[in-house]
Formats: sequence, structure tokens, C-alpha cells
Amino acid sequence: MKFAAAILSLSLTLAAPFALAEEDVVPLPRDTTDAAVIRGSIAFRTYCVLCHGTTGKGDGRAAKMYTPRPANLTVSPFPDKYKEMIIRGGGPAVGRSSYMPPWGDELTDEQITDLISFLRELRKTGIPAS
Amino acid sequence: MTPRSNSSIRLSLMAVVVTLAMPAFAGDQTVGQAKKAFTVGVLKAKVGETVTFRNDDEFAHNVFSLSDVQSFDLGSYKKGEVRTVKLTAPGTIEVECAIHPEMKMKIEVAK
Amino acid sequence: MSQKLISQRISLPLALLFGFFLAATVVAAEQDPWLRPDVAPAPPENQLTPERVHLGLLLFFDPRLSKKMTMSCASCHNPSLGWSDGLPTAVGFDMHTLARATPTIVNTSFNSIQMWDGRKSTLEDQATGPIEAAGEMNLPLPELIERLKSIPGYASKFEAAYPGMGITAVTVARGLASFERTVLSTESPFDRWRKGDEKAVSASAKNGFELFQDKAKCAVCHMGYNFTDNGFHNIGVKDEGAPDVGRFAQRPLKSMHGAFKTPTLRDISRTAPYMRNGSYKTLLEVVEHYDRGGDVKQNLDINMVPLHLTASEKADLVAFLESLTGVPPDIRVPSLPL
Repeated sequence: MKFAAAILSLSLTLAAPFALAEEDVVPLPRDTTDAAVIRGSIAFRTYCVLCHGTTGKGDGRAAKMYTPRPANLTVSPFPDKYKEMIIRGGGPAVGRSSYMPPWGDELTDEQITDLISFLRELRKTGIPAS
Repeated sequence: MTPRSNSSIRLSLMAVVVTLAMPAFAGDQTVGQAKKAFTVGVLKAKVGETVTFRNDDEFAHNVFSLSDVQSFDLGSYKKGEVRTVKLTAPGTIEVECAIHPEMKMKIEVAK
Repeated sequence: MSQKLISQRISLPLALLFGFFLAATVVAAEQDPWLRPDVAPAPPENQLTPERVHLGLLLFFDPRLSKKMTMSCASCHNPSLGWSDGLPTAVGFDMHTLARATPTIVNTSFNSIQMWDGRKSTLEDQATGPIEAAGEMNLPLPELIERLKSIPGYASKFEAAYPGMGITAVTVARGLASFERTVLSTESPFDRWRKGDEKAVSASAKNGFELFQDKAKCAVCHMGYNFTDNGFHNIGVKDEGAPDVGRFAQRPLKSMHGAFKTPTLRDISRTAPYMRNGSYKTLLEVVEHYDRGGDVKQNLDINMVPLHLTASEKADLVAFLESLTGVPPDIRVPSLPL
């Protein structure tokens, strides 16, 4: 719910400048957690869902091929810094399965930070509205 | 035309209709992998039918799909080997070879 | 009909037919699958022009495209070192050693997919990646554009190459890709042999080419004029630290775990050390890797098996590989716009 509301408010604010006259330009909101979560969800959808699933429970389309299964991110007990290490360096960076590939070369620092925000949201709410 | 020509035409027409209708009743279709390409570009099939992938190339192929409709990984297999997948849902399945990303084809699965 | 007319009616079509067959054999002879086409393919929106190639040349050699103005594309893709860097793995931003070797850019315009793990498909897609990668040139694209705009000399170069399109990430990528399309392998002894000069290569190399296609199974992956199938294989290369999962990050399938793109073998003598992590210093070591059937047996490509090559067969293979290197053109390093 909160997710959908965030998307709605963000798109309205982005749409606003086009609807108004030049003198009434509304500045974009400064970066918020909601915006970070949305950006993170885009990166998640692009790179992570194949294994971790659209709801992050570790039930992606490719998941059944692997033992151990991809992690259920909705119940992950690890702190942000640990998750960042896994994202950047892959499973082997923290002594875990190499089925989790390293993304450090492929994602920008901003994408990784946004992913962490998104993962926090996943932990809190359980299932993000799709 | 003479009556004899009429009936022979009818007979050949029936034969054509029967042969055209036959694939629709076959439960399995085959797609070859040859010269680093699939032998069929778009395959039309139905839910419940099977598709057999046969490797005719001198090197291994690995046919897979990560489509929303149905995902599968047939693993790597050599020349002469076949792998079969049963179609479980309607929609368009994008099939590729993991080893050779240029190899692509689609299966359009009808209900 | 008179006799004369009948024979004319037959002989003219026959002559035409003969002519067609002659032309067909000439054309067929030119399409030797092991010889490189003359020109690299370019997409319709980025056809090669001298202005575009020149723009790409300037950008390729310009270290101002990196955060600290110390690295250009040519720092790693160094024309003096076979368009690679002679290192086991690349060295990036702030002299950090990276995980994979710098691939050569020779003939990459003929490849259908780019990078060791195939995450980019066209040269245009790939070109700006290393510029913004934190571990490499580390310059975010918006800053790159600002910097290029602040160099007055670039404006006319971009305008000549891409009129009306301005200085954007798109025109930077297209310019770089256009230059890369001119980095092609030159005629090697192997090519001269294929064109009919029996003395161009040694008997050892000729036997090596036979082994390449047959007993040693190299041509299963290293096929065609660019000696690559543009495919992904796990050939069992040992990693020093954590295993590099390669293509698996793009396609999470078992066979792709540890699989990497087959590189070209053209100009191979110039791009030691070999393999994606620079494990081997000589071509003989590479041949021995394959003779063993690879080192890391887990998830190995099913085409990889021990070959049981004799010492003389290994030497023949090395001789053949060495025959794939031509004389590179001397490249003039440009004066950059100010």
C-alpha cells in the first residue's frame, strides 16, 4: 500500500512540471527513502528476481535448479553492511555459495545503496505490492 | 470433366485434408539444433503436448527458457542426444541456447 | 526453324549458365570460412564515416574520460600490446587489480556479444561501461558529458561526426564503437596459406591446423574466421581466490556457472598471458591445459576431455596458433582537442 502510494506521489510530482505554466514550476522532492526503495525495486526486478523471485522469497524461476536455494530475503537476519558485501562480492565473499554471483562490477554504487534500501523494505513489510 | 476425374479429385482432396490434420493430433514435435540454429523459428503447440529438442551439431547445446510462462533447463547434451519438455501452460515461451546466445526460437502454446 | 537459329538458341543459354557457374565458383572461393570479411558490420544508425572514426580515435586515447584523468580506453586496450595490456588481469582505478583479463578489441566488431560474461551485446552498448565503472575509469556519465563539453575542441568533432546530436552518452558510445570497428586483424601467415601460398606456414603449423579441427577439438568452440563461436563455456580454469561465476550472473543456469565467452585467437601471440585470469604465460601452457581436460572439473563443459596429445602434436598446435598473428599496422596516437 505504502509502496503504491509512494509510486503515485512520485509520478504526480514528476508529471506536475508539464501540467503547469513556466512560472509555477514545482521542484522535485529531495531524495527520500521511498524514492530509494523504488529505484532499488527496479534494480531488483532486473537482476535479482530470476533467483530470488518477485517477492524476494527465494522462489524465482531459476531457483529450483540450485542447492542451496536462493536466500529468502524477506526473513534475512543480516545487517546492511553484510548484504552489501554479498551483493558486491558474491557468495564467496562471505564464505557462502558461489551461486550468488558478484555484482560489484556491474551495478553502480547508487544502485547497490538503493538495493539495500529496497531489501530493508522487503524485511519490514514482507511482501512488496507489485 | 468426366465422373472418374471428379472422384479422383475428391479422393486427393481428402488425402490432403487428412495429412494436414495429422500434426494437430500428434502429441510430440521435434525441433533440431543444427549449424548453431534452431530448425524451427516459431513452433505452435498445445498445453499437454511435448517438444523434443534434438542436437544435430558436432558440439553441445543447452536449451533453456526463463520465460514467465514456463521455465526449464534441459542441460548440456551432445550430438544425437534428445531432451524433451512437456508444455504445462499457455502463452509464448522464449527458448534459447545457454551456450550460444544467438540461438533463439519461440513456442506458442495454445490452451 | 533453321539449323543456325536452333544452335544459337541452345548455345546462348548454355553460355550464360556457364558464366553463372564460373561466377558462383569465384564467389564461393572468396567465402573461405576461415578468412575474415573485409569490412566489419555496422548498424544502420551508426554507419562508418571518417569523421566518426576520427572522433572515436580521439575519445579512445583521451585520459580525460576518467575521474583522475589518468586512464583512457587505450590504457588497458593498448595498441602497442595487441590492444590489451600484457597483464594477467586488468588494473583499474587507483591501481586496483581487477578480477578479469583485459580482452583484446581486435575483431570485436564481428562478435555478436561482448565482454567475458556477455552482459553487453553491441559495441555501442559496451563502450561507456568501463568509463562509469567504479573499478575502472570511475567517471559517472553526466560528469563525462560536462567534461567533454568544457573542452572547446570537441564541439566541432562531435558535430562533424553526428550533426545535430550534440555531446551525449549516445554519441560518445557511437564514436567509440566506430573507431573500434576499424581495429581488425591483419593478414597473417595462416591467411596467406588459405589464399594459396603453400610456403606461408610450416608443415608443423599445417598439421597443427588439422589437429585444431580434429583430435584437439579446438574448432568446436574456436570456429570460423574469428576463431570463436560467440558462445559460453566452462573450461575449468583455476581461480586463485573465490571462483568467478562468469555468465551465471546473466543467465542463472547450471551450465553457465563458471562459463565465459570464447575469445578470438587472431593475433594471439601478442596477447599473453592467456585465459580470463591470465593463468598461462605461453601458448604451450594453454595447449597443456586442454590436454589435461581443464583443471577444475566441477561443472565442466561436456566438450572438455583429456586429449592425449604427443609432445610433437602440442608443438604443432602452438606453431599453428602462432601463424594466426599478422603484422599490426603502426597506429598514430592522436593530438587531443584542447
